[in-house]
Amino acid sequence: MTLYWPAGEPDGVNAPRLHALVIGVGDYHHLGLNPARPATFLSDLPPLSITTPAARRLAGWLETRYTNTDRPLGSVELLLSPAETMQRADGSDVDVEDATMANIEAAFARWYNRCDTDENNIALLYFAGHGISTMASQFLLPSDFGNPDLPDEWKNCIDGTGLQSGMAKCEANTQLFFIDACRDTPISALTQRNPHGNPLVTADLNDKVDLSAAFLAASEGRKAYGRDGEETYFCKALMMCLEGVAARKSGPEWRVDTSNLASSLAAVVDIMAQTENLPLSCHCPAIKPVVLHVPPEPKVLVKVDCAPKERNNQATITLTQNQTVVTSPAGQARPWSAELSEGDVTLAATFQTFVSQELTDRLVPPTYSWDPPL
Amino acid sequence: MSDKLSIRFEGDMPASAVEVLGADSAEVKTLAMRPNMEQTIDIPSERSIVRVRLPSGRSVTLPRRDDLDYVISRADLEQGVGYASSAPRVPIAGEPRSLSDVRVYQDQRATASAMAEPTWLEAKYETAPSADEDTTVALGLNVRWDPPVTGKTAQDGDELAFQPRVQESHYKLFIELDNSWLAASLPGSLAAAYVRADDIGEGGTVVTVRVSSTSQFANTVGPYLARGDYNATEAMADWAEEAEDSLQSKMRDPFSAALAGYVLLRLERYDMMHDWARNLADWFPDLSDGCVLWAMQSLHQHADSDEATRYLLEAARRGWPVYTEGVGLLSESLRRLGDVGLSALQALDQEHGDESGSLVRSSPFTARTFGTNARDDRPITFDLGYDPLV
Repeated sequence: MTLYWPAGEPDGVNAPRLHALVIGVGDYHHLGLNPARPATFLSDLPPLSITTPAARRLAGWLETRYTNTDRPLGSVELLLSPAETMQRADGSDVDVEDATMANIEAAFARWYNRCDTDENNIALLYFAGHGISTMASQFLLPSDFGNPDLPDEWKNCIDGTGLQSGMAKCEANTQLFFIDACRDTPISALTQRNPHGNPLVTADLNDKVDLSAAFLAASEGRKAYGRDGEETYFCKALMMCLEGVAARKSGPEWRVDTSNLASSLAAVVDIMAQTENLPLSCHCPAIKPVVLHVPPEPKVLVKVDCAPKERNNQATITLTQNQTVVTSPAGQARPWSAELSEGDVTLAATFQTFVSQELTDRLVPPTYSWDPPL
Repeated sequence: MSDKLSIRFEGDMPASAVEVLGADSAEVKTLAMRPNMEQTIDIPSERSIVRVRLPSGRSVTLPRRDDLDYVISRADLEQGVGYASSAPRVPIAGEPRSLSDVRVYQDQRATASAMAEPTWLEAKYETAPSADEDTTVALGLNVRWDPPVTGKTAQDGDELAFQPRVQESHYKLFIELDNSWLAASLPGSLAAAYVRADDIGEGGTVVTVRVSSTSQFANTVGPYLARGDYNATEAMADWAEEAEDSLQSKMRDPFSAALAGYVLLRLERYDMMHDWARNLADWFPDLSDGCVLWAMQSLHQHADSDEATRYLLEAARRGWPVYTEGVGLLSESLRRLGDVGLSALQALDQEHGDESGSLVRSSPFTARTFGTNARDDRPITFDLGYDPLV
């Protein structure tokens, strides 16, 4: 079973819906530490401890937090490696299948068919796992990638770029692809092996959709991908944005649209790069706005940096907003960031030997940076 | 009750997007502003907020003015809040270096650039050592340009600077560090390029490449497009026509024209593209961006898939576009041509054999990384983009 939500069959109502396919691959059958049947190449790629938490988090968010009256949630297909039993928000259990190529193909077909029922549907795909990138393609690796028993060692490989291209055939006019792939594989070593993958769907030149947008985690190297046991940085940034940091008020309501999501993701990842001191980046080029979600409230990610180093070491930072007070005592890592609500805030930085600073200002999503003057 | 709010940019301001928000933080309007430009807009409340969104990605909220008359200079940005500090930036000194150090450095460079732009390169840099006449060696980096461009090192020894001459064909830039390579295609209309390497501890080494163009359109709109800022890009769409003019002028800057084409494609403003994409494709036979643009326009505006197919295959024959935006469009479209497109795509993908490498997706200019990092536990990340200070 890969249908994580709803517990029964999707409602079948002929009205626009968001349909999601969420894949998190952590364990690889033929890669990593001492597999029974190791792949003949890439076998040193390690398991990933951050991809299944990321996929779980997004699936759970869609189930419980996603709000869009025009396009409510229609379905969530979920695949995880290793397979596991999960509990839905209503308390029922679901056996989530392994993210093998065959299971992904089957789940993709069901997802595609649901997306194809209405041109106003939103098709959302999220993949977290190992990826290999060439100039023309980004390949996504299912859990049984590199099976040495197959004549074609690339048979269990998805051509992610081709998949996005092929989805132009689908009726859903808004298509969002979140590719959260760890790219620490030197493609140079693989060039002789003719990397290729299955796009799962193909389109022709005349097929088109209104919005086909890829949101890509672009950081290189494992450390830039996430902290062990937590979600990926990209997933954390995405959640932050969906929960209100990417909100824009146009009319009476704060809403997260695809355009603001793109620019806000870039801004949030940029702050994460500074606070984590890692080369984090994402690639989310300008795309037109389509309303995706109505968050409970607008949020702002505030970053405070009291450089130089000795001043940062001394800084006690306090952010006060109505009854909420957030403090970062001296000695914590700098720059420092915290999420607050949209609205007025008082920012204060106190030091032992430098002049203390205070400022009252208005926070507007997505981000706000304060470098207290020296 | 409504009021009128006036915004004027002083001559020292970079072209930027200005966001006017109501008292409830709802967006009133996003304006595209240039130096010495003035615009007046109706606002619903005198408690509106004015926020400058700079090409670098920073936002500066300006202190509220009761008279609603905002005259904005670079000095105001420093006094504004939401990003700026009124204090001078802290000099970078000693180890460890960090990403924030890189940013501070960039800030310093902005100030220097604004103060003495024409002579700054000469004043702050000296000729860098070379392994041979084509390669600049410094900071542990080997840097080679095709055609050759000689580099200079900053007096603090932390950065290389290049001032390529303007040419109609694109530049190829190769950078090597510990057997990790970056190969990038860069516009021929560059004003300057800067390269530096920073050790950021556990995160490894970041090799930063920043370029600025002789085209103000490219310097302004390029960063907004790459960073995903649709509203700002949309507000600046009208400036695209000036980039078109540069195709026919003495400057003949096909790279800015190509960027303008990608902007208008993103905004689906085919009406503004006229036939300049076809001119770009036909007049500049080494540049595949024009072919990609004209193919896309033929398909979306004229539903002419035969013309689109012809130009897509011609683009593939010429090689990868200079802009990453074009790489995505070309590889996606070739896939949809069936076998003929797939074989063209495969040939392109394998164009450089073992050195074909991976696309640097976060770069606005087409770049690939290849090679084997000699330091397994210390990743080398190449970060290529526009000079954030222009």
